Amino acid sequence: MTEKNSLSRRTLCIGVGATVAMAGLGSLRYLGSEALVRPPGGQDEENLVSKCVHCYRCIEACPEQVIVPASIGSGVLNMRTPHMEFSDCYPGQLDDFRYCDMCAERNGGVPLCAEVCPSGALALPADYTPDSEVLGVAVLNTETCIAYRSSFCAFCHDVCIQVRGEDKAAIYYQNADASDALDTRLPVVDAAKCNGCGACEAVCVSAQAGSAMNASERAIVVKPLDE
Amino acid sequence: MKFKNARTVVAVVAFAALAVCLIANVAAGTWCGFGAADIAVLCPVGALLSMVAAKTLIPRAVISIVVAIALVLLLGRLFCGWVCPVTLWRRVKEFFTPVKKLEERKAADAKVNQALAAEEIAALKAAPSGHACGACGACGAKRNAKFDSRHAVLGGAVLTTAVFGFPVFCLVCPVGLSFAAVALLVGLFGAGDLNWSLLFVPAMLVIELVFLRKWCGRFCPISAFMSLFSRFSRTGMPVIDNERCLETAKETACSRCATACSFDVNLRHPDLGELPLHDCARCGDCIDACPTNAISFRVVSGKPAPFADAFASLRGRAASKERPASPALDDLEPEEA
Repeated sequence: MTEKNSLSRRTLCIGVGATVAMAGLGSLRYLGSEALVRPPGGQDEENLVSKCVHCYRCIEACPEQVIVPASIGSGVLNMRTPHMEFSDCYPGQLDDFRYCDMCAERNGGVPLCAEVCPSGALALPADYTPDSEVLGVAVLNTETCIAYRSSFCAFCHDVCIQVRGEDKAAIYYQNADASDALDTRLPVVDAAKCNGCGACEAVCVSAQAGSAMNASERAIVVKPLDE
Repeated sequence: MKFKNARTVVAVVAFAALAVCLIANVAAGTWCGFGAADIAVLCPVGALLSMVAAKTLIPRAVISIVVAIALVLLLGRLFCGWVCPVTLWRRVKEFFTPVKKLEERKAADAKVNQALAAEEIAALKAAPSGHACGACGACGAKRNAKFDSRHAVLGGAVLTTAVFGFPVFCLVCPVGLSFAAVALLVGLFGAGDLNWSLLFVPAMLVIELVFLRKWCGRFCPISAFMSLFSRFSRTGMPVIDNERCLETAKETACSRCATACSFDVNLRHPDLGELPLHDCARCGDCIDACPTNAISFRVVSGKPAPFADAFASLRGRAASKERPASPALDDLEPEEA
């Protein structure tokens, strides 16, 4: 009979211990978590964090390799969930940069990440079109942007036109008409037109060009919509 | 090749293949969610937890659970023995344990198992035929239960997931963390990505697989999930040939199969293992350990028989050989003649 008792005592101890440990880990969600730019179909944050089982299929499926798993440093809720990372590209390469084009050419505009997601964490809205999905919005930091600090720089402006076309391009020059002098042209993001594709961030040369010694991120970075 | 080495090779190849897919960006997924193109299944526990967290039914998750149950009904906890990356971590741990310590541990286990077997054999020898084991009480008590600490952990995982709204257990699952470690290495060497996960992931793996003794048999909720359904499995189990088994044929307390078992199952005395027989992971260690080669995998293994029945059946036959003029045989003879 002692065997039986020790068995149920162990069951109780391990069950309670494990539950308390998991509750402790779970309650870390209330410490808050960093808002992240999510892959297509992941804009409903609640849906994503509840359903994602961290299988990494979206990360593997992304032909542009702009999806990475989040670290525990971004909050326990975010840990190992997918988010967009556009700053891994070598800057200033207009013919070789990675961004999200909703798999326009590779999969007819249906993002492969959302297509392979087995748990429904990445779920495209019913009325999805490649033009309707907005991942985030590019935010330009005028403190570190080369164009604002010193000399003329056209990378983000040009790449935006390159990937989005003249009509849908979201980055325009502030003083374009005022003067012919190039170095008075300042890039500005039209938030209403930006879909957060990340091309501008991928090519931005600011931080590396040394325009600001302590820049922690590129001068133009895609941020989540609600930030 | 020994089963233990064979299944280590299988698990290494499976893990390496998925790791290469992760590095080479082939969307095969991991054991958490596995598939090709748009055909994929989820880990059944992950599927369950994500539905609990989202408080909705997810069609693919339901299908995944059904598929997992079907596989468990066919092959029990085969995944644990042959595929799970934890089986590899266990081999690594074993590699770094001093040989002397391993031998001591094994000798102690053997002693316990043999003593239990001797007790049961002695009791059965003394007992009259057709004796009801449950009512006797001469042998040691049943050492395992239908539900154990793993099922409690599974319950805790479901509960905390419901409360906090995300699959909490998935964050610390050693299967997922094994793949997270690969992804971290890719990030570290590919993009120079230094972050806190580089501490968290190895720390959790060490806590679970080094400090918590017997993760698979006492904690793992995936193992718990599988054992809920493997109890109905009647296929692919190792089966003992009673005529060759030392315990039934020679009445010797051998129990090497129980001592060798990597999953704390006692094939010869199902009630005396730390885990019940249905937790068999088809690992084959008992087959390698059997001194008389009495154990083999059977495609259809049928309902496992308690030791008392196996013992009685052989004793009955031995007795009838010795005394052919037993009343039972007399009754049959007129028909045969």
